[in-house]
Amino acid sequence: MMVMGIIASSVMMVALRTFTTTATITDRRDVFADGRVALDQLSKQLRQAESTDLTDCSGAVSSITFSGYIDGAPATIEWRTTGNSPGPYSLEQSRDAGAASPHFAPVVSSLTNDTPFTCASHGGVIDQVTVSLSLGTTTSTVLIATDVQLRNAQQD
Amino acid sequence: MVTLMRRLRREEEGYSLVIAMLLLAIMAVLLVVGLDAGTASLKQSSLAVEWSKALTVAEAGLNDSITRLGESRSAANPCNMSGSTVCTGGGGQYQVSWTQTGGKIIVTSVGYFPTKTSPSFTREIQATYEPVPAFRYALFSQTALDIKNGATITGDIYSDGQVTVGQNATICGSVLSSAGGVSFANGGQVLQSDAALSCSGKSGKVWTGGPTGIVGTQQVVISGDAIAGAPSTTTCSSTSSSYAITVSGGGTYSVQGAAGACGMISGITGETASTPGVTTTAPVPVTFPAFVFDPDNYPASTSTDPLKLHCYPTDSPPTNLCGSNQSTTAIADFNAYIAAHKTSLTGTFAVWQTSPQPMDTAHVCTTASTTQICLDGITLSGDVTIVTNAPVDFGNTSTVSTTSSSVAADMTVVSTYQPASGTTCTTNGGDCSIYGQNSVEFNAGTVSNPDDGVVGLLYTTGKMAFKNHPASQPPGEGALYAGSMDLKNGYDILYNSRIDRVLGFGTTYERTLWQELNVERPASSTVGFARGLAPRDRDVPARSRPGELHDGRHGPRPRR
Repeated sequence: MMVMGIIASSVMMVALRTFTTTATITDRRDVFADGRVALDQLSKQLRQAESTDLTDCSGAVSSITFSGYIDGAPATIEWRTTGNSPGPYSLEQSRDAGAASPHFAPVVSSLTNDTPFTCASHGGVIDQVTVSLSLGTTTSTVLIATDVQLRNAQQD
Repeated sequence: MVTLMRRLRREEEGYSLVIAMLLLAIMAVLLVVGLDAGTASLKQSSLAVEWSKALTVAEAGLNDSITRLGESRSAANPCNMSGSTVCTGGGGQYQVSWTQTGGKIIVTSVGYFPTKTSPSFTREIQATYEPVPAFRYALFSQTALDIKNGATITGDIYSDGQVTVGQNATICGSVLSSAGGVSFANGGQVLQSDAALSCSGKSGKVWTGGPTGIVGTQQVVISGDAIAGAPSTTTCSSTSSSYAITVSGGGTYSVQGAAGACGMISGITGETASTPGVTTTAPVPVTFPAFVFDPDNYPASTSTDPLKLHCYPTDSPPTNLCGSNQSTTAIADFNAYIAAHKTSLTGTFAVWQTSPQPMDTAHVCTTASTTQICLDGITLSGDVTIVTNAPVDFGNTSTVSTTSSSVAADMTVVSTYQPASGTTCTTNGGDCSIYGQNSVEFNAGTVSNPDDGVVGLLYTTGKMAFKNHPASQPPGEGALYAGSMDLKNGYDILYNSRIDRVLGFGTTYERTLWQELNVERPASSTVGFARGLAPRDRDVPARSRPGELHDGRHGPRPRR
């Protein structure tokens, strides 16, 4: 009986561990997928941006508003992070940021850093934005990032 | 109970097999989950790479098109989107199309990865190319420029020679004289902003490079910097009257920015800094934009484009030698066309007259004129471009307007006519390249709306003269560029950037807009989409992608 009990307990522990690991793997997959989707959307929109509200590229910021295009139609777009320290933070998007009451929708909800945006300027024109998403899973934090050249950025 | 225990003891053999199988099953589940996660992650990565590659392919198509168009505006398209032929490049296949209207070339490229017949991803991009801006000044003269009394100019002014700002003339912008000076009559002003002119954000700067420097009189205001520069070989001195900022006749002469001069600085008030006698750079001479006529720049005469090229003498594709041939009746023929269309004129016109002669009594032009193109009282139904080697006459007291207030029109007149040396062109006429007698008006619509009405670019390497803009009317919008010009009695100009990119001035195009459009994704590309990849198409409105995620407002998927 004792032997059987030990074996049964071990089996239960393995089973529970399996469930935990499965949940961890699924969580990581979901978090990474959401991060990639956000990065793809953001880079696609930023690539078409004409100008941003960024004026100082010396530090990372929590939001970016830019005029760009969606399906060929002009749009004012804003991405921002929300949440309280120490996180997790959410990344939200608005496609009517020029409106009096813009609508925001969450895209990623597992950020560990609330300042994902930095920029670079060339010739006095801010023409590059770097997006760094720090994605927190149940076991680790992974940083995914992209540098986007603003194709329509021009000197005023 | 005893019996049961005995039975269990008897039948305990084999339980390890059950346990082992149970353990194996659990381990198998773990293995499957792990493998699945790994596979999904790998698939996501590879699809992300393919997604990016499709953009690279589309970009390759764009670059290929621009290379072809750079070689010839009439280049053939080997992989037109309207056909089935594809071009290979960038690691995939692409099809392109381009259109050209006015000065714009719009190129559309669709990239297929890996092939058009079975694409994983299809991405479509569109880029707009326009001539580099060549016209940034409201007034540009290669010789001395006289801004008459009471005139208002909204925009920047450039001259290679001396600039005279008349009594109570107001310039909301800047004045640049690379080799001359600027002299102000009483009440002359160069402002950074002027509410009455709906003008703001200008530099209000006066910068000269000639020895006469900047000379003011009573009630003169320069609201930006005043800089009297000099060539680099000049020896500067704070007591020198050359390259100086001085006052003539006393009175209040206000410089509200910094004052700097190679020579002396005297008689001004209000400057934020004063640095006389120091080496001060002269403005770099601005090159007069050169015009090159190329019939391939314009929609062919066989096109349905309303801006298509009309050539005098007549020519048509495929020879398209417009510009190579001239006619003794080109002016008369074109004037006859104007007579028939002057109430609704639009298009591109090239008029090449054999041995063009001076105007026969400037301002007394009619549509029967044979020496000058007569644009007296024309009404525009769209953009108009006139390129000619003949004189152009806007007549007397005529108004250039549009067919309705909802129609906006850019009017470009390029005359390469060169008056003979020794002749004069003044506001009273003479041998002019472009001329308008009393009160010729360009109806610019609402002054505060830069997008309406008529905006004109009048360009000649020769001579230009206009006079007597009606004071009751708003200023004409656009720009005047001439080898020399004479503007008299309140001929007000409001610079409008609608004419800053005109075709034919320089061969360089630049990309002014880059957009990613959305194409219908082939059904095959949805196959194998792991969780999280389809939402790329959230950029696509719901109507375009039935059954998929669309607008990005669904938010992240619920965590399991």
